[in-house]
Amino acid sequence: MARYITNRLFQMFLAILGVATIVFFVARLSGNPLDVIMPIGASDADYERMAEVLGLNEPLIVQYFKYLVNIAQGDFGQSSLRPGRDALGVVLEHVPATLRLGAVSLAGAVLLGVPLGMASAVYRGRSIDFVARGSAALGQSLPAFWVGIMMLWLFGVRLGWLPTSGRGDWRNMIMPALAMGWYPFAAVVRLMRASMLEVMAKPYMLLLESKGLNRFTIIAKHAFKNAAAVPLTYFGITIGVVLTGSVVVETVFSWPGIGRLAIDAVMSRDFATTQAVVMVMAVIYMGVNLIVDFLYGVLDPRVRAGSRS
Amino acid sequence: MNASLRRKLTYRRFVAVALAAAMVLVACGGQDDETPEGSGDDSTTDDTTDDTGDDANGSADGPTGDVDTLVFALTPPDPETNRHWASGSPGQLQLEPYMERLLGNDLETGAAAPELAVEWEANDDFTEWTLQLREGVQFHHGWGEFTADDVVLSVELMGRDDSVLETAEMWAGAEAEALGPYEVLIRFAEPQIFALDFFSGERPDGFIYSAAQWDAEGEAGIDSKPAGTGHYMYDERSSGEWIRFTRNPDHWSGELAESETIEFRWEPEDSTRLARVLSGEAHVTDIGRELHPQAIDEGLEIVRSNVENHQSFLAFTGTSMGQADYEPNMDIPWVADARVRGALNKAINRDEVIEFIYEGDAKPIIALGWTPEREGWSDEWAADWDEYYGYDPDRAVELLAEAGYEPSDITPTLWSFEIAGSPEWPLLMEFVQQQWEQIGIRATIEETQFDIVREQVVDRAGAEGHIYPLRNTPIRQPQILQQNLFDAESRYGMFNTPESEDILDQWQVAIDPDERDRLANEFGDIKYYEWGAIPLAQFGAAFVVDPDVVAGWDFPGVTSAGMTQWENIRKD
Repeated sequence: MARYITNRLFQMFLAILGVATIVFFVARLSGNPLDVIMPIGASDADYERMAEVLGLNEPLIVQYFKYLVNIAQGDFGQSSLRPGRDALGVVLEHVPATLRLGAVSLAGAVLLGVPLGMASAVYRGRSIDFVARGSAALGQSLPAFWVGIMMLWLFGVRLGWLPTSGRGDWRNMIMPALAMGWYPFAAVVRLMRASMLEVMAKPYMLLLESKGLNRFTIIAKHAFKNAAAVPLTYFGITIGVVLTGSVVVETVFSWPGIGRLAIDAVMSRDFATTQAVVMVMAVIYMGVNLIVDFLYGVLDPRVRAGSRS
Repeated sequence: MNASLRRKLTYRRFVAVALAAAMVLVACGGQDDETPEGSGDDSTTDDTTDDTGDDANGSADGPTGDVDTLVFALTPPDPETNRHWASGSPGQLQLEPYMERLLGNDLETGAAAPELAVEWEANDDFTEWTLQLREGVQFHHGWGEFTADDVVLSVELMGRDDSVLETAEMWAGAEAEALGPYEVLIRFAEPQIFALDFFSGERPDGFIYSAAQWDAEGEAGIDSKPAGTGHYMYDERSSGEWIRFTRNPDHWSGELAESETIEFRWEPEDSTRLARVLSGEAHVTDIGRELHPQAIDEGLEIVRSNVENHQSFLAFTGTSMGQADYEPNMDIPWVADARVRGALNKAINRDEVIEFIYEGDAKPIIALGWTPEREGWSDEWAADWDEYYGYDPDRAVELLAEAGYEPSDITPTLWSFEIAGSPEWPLLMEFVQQQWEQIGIRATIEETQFDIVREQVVDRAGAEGHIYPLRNTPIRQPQILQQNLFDAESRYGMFNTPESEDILDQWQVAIDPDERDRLANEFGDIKYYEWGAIPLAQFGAAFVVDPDVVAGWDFPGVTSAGMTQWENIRKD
């Protein structure tokens, strides 16, 4: 198991290096940040002065190697979105908001999606199956920004039940969490349903029933345990969905997380903050996937055996 | 227990588990520590509930006139900072409530008026300005009295290497000297006829920081709790969320703002900002004009600035004929022909532009960059306006024929993009395209971004035949506008000719008022009669307010954000 984890950590390091390189060059392909930072009447001399201040006057390859050395020490440079502040510090300040929203969205998706997916499979063809499949179809087809805006106007403005945007108390979290969590909820429902149906069709389920075991025990203990591996694998992918979904949902609901910060940084061509936010997202994504891989290894002996061989 | 009953019981267990899961989800999260004490979410809610017993979220229907915290749902500033030299125009708004300048702006006319300086005079060549400072002004948070030392510091800050102010170079070459505690001399490297604009709110320059705070705390002090002298005091900010100001009980004017606290909440989406006000969580917002009718239908009102200080226009590329090394792309020869530019101007119905794009809340520009009180203004421009800029599609076709073109020969590309504060531009470009199409001109719309446009226009060749929207906000002094945008040496290099370049060179160094007026007029004549741009609409700042809370607001609207004088907000 230790070797398995070591291999995964090494792969993670290579992936982070790749991300760091890609984000550096792609950010610079988007254009000159001075065209965003400098005022309309700025002269060529103003441009040259600011390029020197920001280190943009050096050859690209020199900038790249300096960047690698600096980020290895946790220094992403100064944020131009928040002058005078370290870019990584700005990003880390916004991480808790996204993690909080993402955690609630995912918790909702799993806590509602797993039982609903199971119920949908167990009571196939009944009303709850229809509800589960219908909500899953909507969740996968309706874009998060549209869902967000509709909820905002319905529950925030017309009905006045919930605050429209921003961070406040728990009520502020309901609409963005629903908008962000509906898609992964739909995926969990569908995967859980399909996985349960597959497991329930296995011969040993008939054997358990013929032994006179309680139906709830059969489903909850035997079928669920075997069916859970598929949604768990998807959980790692869901983190990516939530992180990218946060870009849209946080903008609609003015939620001060890294998704909205990423948009602001890209639009402002703030290289330092863009690089820091992408790297932090990448580390979160890979970290969660590492944990999922670890859990997968714990759940499935074949994975452990495969890593040993 | 039979199988059917077992199934029913199991079904109920599933329902129970699902309900429990839903309750866990709803129960997640608690009171957010970072919620501002006086945020719209809380203070407005509490006040509204106390007064009206209305729903927990507050409502636009209920009378909320006595709210202590006035909440503004605003476009986020870029960047967020307390360092005004690092923000320029886009970030100016977040400093306005608590900072002051040497000069303010007259409420009715927008002209420079005493603020921290009470008198001023320039030497003969306008390189030295001596200002008498107001006595007895106290900085917030106990940082002592305002003196000439604070002006010396503030001039240094504006000229720093990391300054993004349009005038950074000018301030870097300037030097301020304290002649006494309440007298300061500012020396410029070159004559600065319009220094008063730079001392006042017309440009994003001139905020005065506390030297005492700077000496004690440096940049960290400005970043954490900057001291100003304004009607409000900086309180706190949360990155990406809000900034809050509290009322200054000891402002030097003796005036006391009505609201104890004002709070700007940053909301990137227009629709979210409008929703905030409609739900009663905010009371003022800066949504795009296309949403104003909807806001009015919902019972909200519009407050307007006293001065119409914004001009929107379309700029031509490929018309920098005064540039020695520039050779226009002759594959697109029409760009250099004044009659074609005239036809493009006369084929636009500005009344309709104003009605449909600006919701009737604007007027046509007579001469881009000029208002009647500015140097060089000519009454003839107003008299000739119908002939040169009035809507006349037949005359547009005639002008093209005189230039030797059929309308279908003219194929401009319209760069379509929006920038903060001008969300209407993409719609405007579609409107212009349709107007030109009515006389047979086939324009193509190319969706892009402003920074990409900036890059392309710097490299003059290759961008010919493109037309793009721009604004003159707040309306600059004519000379400043021309040298920033129309000078062949400027990055934009909009329309110019060898003759206009020669005049501009003289104009920039002239200090005799009559001479300047003559040169400004000659320059303006060339630009006006040769259709150097497509001037469209002039308008003031306009904001949506909840009339149950905001009864009135008197402000000139001369800054780029338009919003100032929060102390003049009258509550219901």
